[in-house]
Amino acid sequence: MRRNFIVLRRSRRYNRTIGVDIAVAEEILQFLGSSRKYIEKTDYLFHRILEHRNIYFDNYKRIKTFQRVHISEIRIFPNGDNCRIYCCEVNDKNNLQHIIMAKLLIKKKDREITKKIEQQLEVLKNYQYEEAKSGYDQSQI
Amino acid sequence: MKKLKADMIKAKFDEIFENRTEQEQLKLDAYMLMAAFLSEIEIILEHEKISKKTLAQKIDTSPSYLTQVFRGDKPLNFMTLAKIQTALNIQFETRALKNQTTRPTSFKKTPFKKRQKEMASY
Repeated sequence: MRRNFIVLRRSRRYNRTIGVDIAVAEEILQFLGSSRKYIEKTDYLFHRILEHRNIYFDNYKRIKTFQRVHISEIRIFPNGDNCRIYCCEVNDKNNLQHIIMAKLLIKKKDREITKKIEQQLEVLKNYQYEEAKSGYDQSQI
Repeated sequence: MKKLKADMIKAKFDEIFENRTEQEQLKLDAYMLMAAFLSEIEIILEHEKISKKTLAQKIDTSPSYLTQVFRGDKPLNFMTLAKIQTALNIQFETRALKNQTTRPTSFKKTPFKKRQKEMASY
């Protein structure tokens, strides 16, 4: 399944970017924009993911590995409302690692990955991402 | 579904993230400094297979406090950092570099009592 993403931030030190799937961008934007605490924490987490040697830590973990894509999750407030953003990690031909926010889960009640979530993650593995450059219009799909 | 241009999406994300107050910027800078230390500590913990719970015991603090620090929910103070340094038998090296971009070099002075209140709320 072909999907498009845009790069939101690029690391100054490493070959990494954080991006968002255009199809879910508005949903994620609305969610993050709903509270200053989400913006502040996400801002910090983006920095932590991009600018440090060890990419994985308490709030950002790789949870599934498939052939072409790895699935990871950003946990903004693990002890709070436990919202998660599932990401696809893909490498482009220039060996640039893109971490693409692909699915938002606002309320996650269980600590484990349930069957329902598992199914949703299975869908993500089939996504074939292409970067939408400046001037791209989703209506052209 | 509302169709948005990629440029518009990027601009909207930039807008919510870059629209920081002076205090929010300072807080972010403080947490980014903290992240530099935490990231290095995590590499050592992983390499030496030491859990955060064990580290908490070694430095005589509660595991929940340490978890909150590592999750970026609480600030790391320098006393705790010094204890971690001793417990892990490591030494941090620091280096200051001049910024390439211009940033404000001075902020308006905030009264000390107000600053204390703000720090307590972090």
